Amino acid sequence: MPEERTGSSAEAGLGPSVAGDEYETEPLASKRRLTTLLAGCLVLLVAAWIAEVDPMALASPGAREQMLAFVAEGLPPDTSRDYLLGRTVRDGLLWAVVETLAISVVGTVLAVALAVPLAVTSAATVTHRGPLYANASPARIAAGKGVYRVSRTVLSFLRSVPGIVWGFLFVTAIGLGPFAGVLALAVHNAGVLGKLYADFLEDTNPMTTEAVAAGGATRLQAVCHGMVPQVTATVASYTLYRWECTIRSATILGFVGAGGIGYYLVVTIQRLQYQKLLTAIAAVFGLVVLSDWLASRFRTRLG
Amino acid sequence: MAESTAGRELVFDGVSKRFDGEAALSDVSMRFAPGERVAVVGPSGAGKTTLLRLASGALTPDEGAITLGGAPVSGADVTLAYQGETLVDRRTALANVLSGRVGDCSWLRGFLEPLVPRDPEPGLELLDAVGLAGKADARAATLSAGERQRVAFARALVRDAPVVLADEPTANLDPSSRANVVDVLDGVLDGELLVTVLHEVGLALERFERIVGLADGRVRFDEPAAEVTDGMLDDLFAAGASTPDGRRSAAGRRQHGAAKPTEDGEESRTQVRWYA
Repeated sequence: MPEERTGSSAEAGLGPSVAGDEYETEPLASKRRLTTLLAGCLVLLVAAWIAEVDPMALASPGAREQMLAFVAEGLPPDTSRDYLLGRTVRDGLLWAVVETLAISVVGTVLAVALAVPLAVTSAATVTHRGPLYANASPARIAAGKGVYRVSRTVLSFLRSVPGIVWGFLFVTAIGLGPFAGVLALAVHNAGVLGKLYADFLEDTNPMTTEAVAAGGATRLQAVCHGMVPQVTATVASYTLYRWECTIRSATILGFVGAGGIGYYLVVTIQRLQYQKLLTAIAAVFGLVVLSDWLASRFRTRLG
Repeated sequence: MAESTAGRELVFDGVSKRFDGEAALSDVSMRFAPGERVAVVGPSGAGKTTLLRLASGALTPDEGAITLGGAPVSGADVTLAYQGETLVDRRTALANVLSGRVGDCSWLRGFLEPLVPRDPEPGLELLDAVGLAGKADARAATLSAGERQRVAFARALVRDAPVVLADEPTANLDPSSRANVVDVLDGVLDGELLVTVLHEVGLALERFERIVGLADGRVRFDEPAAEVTDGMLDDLFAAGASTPDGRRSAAGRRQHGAAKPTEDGEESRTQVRWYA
């Protein structure tokens, strides 16, 4: 039975090598693989040249000295009570850690809320393709395609603007503070999650959806009962992964004044306070480890 | 509902269907009386599943018409039992069964149903009828292939339609469960017309009164089971001789459990291709 379940992906991906008697096509396939590999190497070389990759720059004595000096000056890290807790707790480094975590949680939840409706209108199997549209009029299919294209374009736009740029925009609009960071993460990640969710919806088993639709279900009902339950587990797991990503993004939102621990990173770098910087980096590391652990706990519970 | 529509014939009148310009069914005309039990047999790619999906309204014919008691068939009259692999893995057996009648719910109710199921009684009764009362709360993913098939029956029958169609109910099952699945179907049916596609000719001949032979999208024969000869079967499967199935002898085909497992895989891949 697993054979059938993977049927669709095998059909789509492997092309000639899954067909019946493919001994003749086999050498051709390996030739194509070699061409792909060579083309890939070429792309990598060109990209490295454009990115001015120069390994020798790293090994130069100047670079080594600078980096050693940086570490030496950062030791021991600043763990003074004044730095960690500040005068009112809310102006200490630890509060910034908590704030970063809060920004990532609210930002992710808001991103999911924005992503779900956009994903539904961006999944071809919901808007115009597959079993739900076997008997649809050409006008209905054309309208669905229109909605699909517009919605996909919106998603591409949302995720093509980096989170920190959204942060800059929102700080300009609503002023400094963590709420600007929340909005920035929400908007950028709505674009990322919306695309992922839509792709999952398109990759569902069409016969399952058809079986539910055959029970007289409307399209929306067939989507809710036939398609959505097929993707919930994947959606939950990828949402958790994106939450981990937003924690890392939230650490740099402070660069543009959008709250969180990033403020400490940028200020201590500018003021050459390497001991404080090292503490801040350690805090970010702790935050990432914590979120990793939390996410894996949630994942095991999802089963 | 069964009473009001009893006595109506299901009629295929010159039905043709093409996929990407390739004929799946050509000029099929047949009549089925209420309460009849019909098995459709034929080589892979013969158009058997297409026949059922047209009758259920999941597809519309390119030419011809399918009527029930003179009126075009509607989804309310016909229910198609899909293969067990079309269950939603992560939902319970009961939720899968109840999803069969989600069309009866209001727009809003249908939206909430996955969270707050309403009136599970009909679903539980049917699960009991197919011998799975104890597995109502088990996730579909944890059920065996035979159990999944029985849940798929229950999902189709929960709608209480006068015409029941079944698509390869014995596919993916081991030989002993195949006969059992037909027993279960017999047990839950109550005067409905049953049309089922079967890979297993032996089982069809033994358990069904009327056999329709389909190859290359055309009806090759349509006879009472007792009058189907080895010669007719050989001709039928020779028509699809490009498949391994087509090269087996009629005598071999009459035995239970002779079907090759790969056939089922081929069939499912074809189904997926239709939506690609």
